[in-house]
Amino acid sequence: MAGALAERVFVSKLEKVGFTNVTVLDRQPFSMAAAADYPLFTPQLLDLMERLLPSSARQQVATSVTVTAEKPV
Amino acid sequence: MTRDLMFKDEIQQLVADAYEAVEDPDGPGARNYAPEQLELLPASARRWILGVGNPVPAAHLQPGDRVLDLGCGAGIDAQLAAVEVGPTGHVTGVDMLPSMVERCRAFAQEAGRDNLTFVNAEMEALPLADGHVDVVVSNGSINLSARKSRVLAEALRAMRPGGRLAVADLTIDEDDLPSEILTHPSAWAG
Repeated sequence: MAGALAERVFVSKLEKVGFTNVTVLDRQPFSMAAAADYPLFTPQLLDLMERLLPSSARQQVATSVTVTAEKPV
Repeated sequence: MTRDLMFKDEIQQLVADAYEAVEDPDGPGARNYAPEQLELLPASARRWILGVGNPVPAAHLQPGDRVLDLGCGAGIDAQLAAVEVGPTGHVTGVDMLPSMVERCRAFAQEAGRDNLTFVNAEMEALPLADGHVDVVVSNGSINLSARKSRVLAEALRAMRPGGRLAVADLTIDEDDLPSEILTHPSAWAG
C-alpha cells in the first residue's frame, strides 16, 4: 500500500507517459480483512492498522481499480 | 532527487524479500475471478493468486494477440490470457523474482500450455522490442515499483500503436491512512 497512488495520480501518470482513452472500469473496496488474507501483509503491519485505523476506516483501506488505456495510433 | 529515486533499491529489495518469504499462500486473490476462470488453472497455481483484481476480461483479448503480463507473479493472468489468445497468440510474463518465474513455468507446464514465455526481468527495463505486443495486462504489481512512470513508459514502448492496456491495481487516499502505516517498511509489499 505504501506504493499505491491515488486514483487521479495513477490516471494522470498514464496520460503523461502517452496513453489515451484512460478509463477506470471498476472500483472495489479493499478492506483490512481482505488485507489480512494476503501473506504479504505482515502481522506488524496489520497490528499497526488495527491500532491506528478507526473501525469505520477498516472496511476500505485501499481500492482495487481496473483501468484500461490505449497507445495512440 | 526524489524520495522514490533515493530509495529505489531499498524498496525493490523490501518487495523482493517479502515475496520470497511467501511459502504456502491460499489464493487470497481468487475471490476476484469467476469460477470458470479458476477452472482453467491448475489447483497448485490457484493457491498463488495474489493479485488484487481480474484484468484479463477488461483486455478484450483476441485469438492471435501477443500479450505481456507485467509483474506476472505466479503467472495467473498470463495463463488466463494464453487461453484467450489461443495457439496463434503468445503471452510473455515478466517478473523480477527468479523463484516466481520458475513457478510460472512449472504451472504452465502443469496446465499443458506452450504459448507462454516467462522472463526474469524488471518492469522498469523490459527485455522486449518496441511495439512487440498488442496488449499489456498487470495485476497488483505496478504499485510495488518505486518508479511507476518508468514502468508505464516501458509498457507503452513495448506495445504496438493502437495496443491496449488493462491493469488492476491498488489505489489509496493518503488522507485516509496514517503516515505510520504508509511509511512502515512492510507496507511496500503489503
